[in-house]
Amino acid sequence: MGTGQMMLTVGAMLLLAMTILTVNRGFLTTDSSMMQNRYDIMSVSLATSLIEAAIRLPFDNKTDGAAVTSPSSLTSVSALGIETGESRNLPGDFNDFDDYNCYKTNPKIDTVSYSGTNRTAFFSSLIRVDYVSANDPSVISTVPTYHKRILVKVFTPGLQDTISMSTVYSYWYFR
Amino acid sequence: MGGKASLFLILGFSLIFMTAGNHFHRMALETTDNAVSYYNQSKANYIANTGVNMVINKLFLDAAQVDGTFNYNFDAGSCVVTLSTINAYQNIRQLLAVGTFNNTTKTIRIVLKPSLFSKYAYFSNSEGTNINWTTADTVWGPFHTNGDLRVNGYPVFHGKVSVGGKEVKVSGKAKYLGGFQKGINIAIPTNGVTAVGGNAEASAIFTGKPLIYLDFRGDSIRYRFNTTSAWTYKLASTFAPNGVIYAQDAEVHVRGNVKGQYSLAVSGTSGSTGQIFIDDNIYYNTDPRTNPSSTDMLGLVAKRNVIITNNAANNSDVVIQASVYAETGSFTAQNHDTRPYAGIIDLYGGITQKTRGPVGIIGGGGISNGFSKRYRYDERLLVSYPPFFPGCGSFEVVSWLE
Repeated sequence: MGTGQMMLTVGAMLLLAMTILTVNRGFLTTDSSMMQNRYDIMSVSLATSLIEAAIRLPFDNKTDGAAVTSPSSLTSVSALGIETGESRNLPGDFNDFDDYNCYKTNPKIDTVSYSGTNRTAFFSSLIRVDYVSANDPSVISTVPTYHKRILVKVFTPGLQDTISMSTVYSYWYFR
Repeated sequence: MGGKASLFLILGFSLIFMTAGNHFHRMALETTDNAVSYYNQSKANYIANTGVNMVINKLFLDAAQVDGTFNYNFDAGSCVVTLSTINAYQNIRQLLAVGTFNNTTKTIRIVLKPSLFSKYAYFSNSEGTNINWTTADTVWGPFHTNGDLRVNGYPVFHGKVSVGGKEVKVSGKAKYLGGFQKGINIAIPTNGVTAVGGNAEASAIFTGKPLIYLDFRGDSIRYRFNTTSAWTYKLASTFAPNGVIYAQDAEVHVRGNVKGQYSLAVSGTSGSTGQIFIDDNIYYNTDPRTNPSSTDMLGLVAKRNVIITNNAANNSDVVIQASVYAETGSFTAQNHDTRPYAGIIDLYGGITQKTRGPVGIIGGGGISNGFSKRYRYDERLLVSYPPFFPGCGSFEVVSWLE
């Protein structure tokens, strides 16, 4: 092998090494991105699940077992949250929508285990429930109304951004 | 030669690596797009749901809410909700909500129609203090009471159950196969009978006749105003062209073979007026139980009570095929507690009553006086109804499309 060929071979080896490094870096970035997206999707799913769980409940503790005819009959703003006998650790026992307000200062931690691996992800959820204006759902009301907004935030150490989902649940029923 | 070969070999490997890297890179981008799309669609959906809730609450509070468009800004997105009437005659309303977030839109389309009492298999404003639903009771179709539902045994409810109060468990456990909902109050109107009667054509309105005997006879109807006078015969389709028969301040005795669709409304609040007495079997010309395509349908709409008469014809079973409505009273049997055992009430339809009325007395291990019950819901009432049957004053969701 002559000197020229030796040079070509060395150059080719260098090119291959650079390509492998670049591709490897790309793989790592892709892996990180996919993991990030996986966390994102799971976070959105968790937020969606929490909202769906909340809106299947009666609008208010006062409408669980009786109809109300005035917003003033509803739970006061300061009392939004769980009632006596309910526990934030037992959401299955909640009896009305605003019971989920108990998560607002003390994040509820959910554990998700990936199937087929030993990895466990911890997602924390923070939920806040407020009355909102009947004319503008983005305005929090200082008095009870027929409309409550639920705000769900989900975060996890592996997540770059906090996922935030929100919707309004109003008092109505049609039979 | 060896150097060139190795160069080509390495270039080949590089090409493979770069192609694979490109695929992985594209996969990462698509995964990101997927996550972002999922997020945007979820947000847009909840924004649309917010608009739906805001407007549907308006309709809940005021059934006469006028059509219009409502705009909301919420959670960094926006929502446009359009409330429109798509069938003015039947007052069918549509709610179209379009939620937008980051150029992603989600549409929710809801159709609502007036809710009528005829749809209930059973409705009561009050269940009384000590009347229980027991093991022998099976209810098909929608059930509602504004009071408490007392369970003493293992009754089965096949349709959705809603209560204004709560479930009181004396013993046992009810089966709610169609779901159970608390805190729902549906008031019986005070003008339900007159509202039905107001639609009657002049030919089908009785006034100044405190006592009326009315027989359905297939294509014809006959009536008289005491038990000894001659009958007056009418062709049913010309007598009550829109199906509504209205007796003002009267006591009406009814029976017969119903062919077509009719509502018999009876007003009156004093004496024995405002009551419908069922003197004998009243049944459809084409029995929907054997022929589901039957279009025969009857509404018995009384201001006070709908009563099974205590007479010879009703002493051994009675057949009632109708949707019964007793605005301020009950569906009951005359002398239910003193008459002998009279067999079975074979009711096919539904019952709406202010207060649950008795039809028999339990004693000696069975029914000692009056009737035992065999009630079956006419499932056609879920989608159809007797003419101008009283409404609940609110709507029901016919479809919800997201």
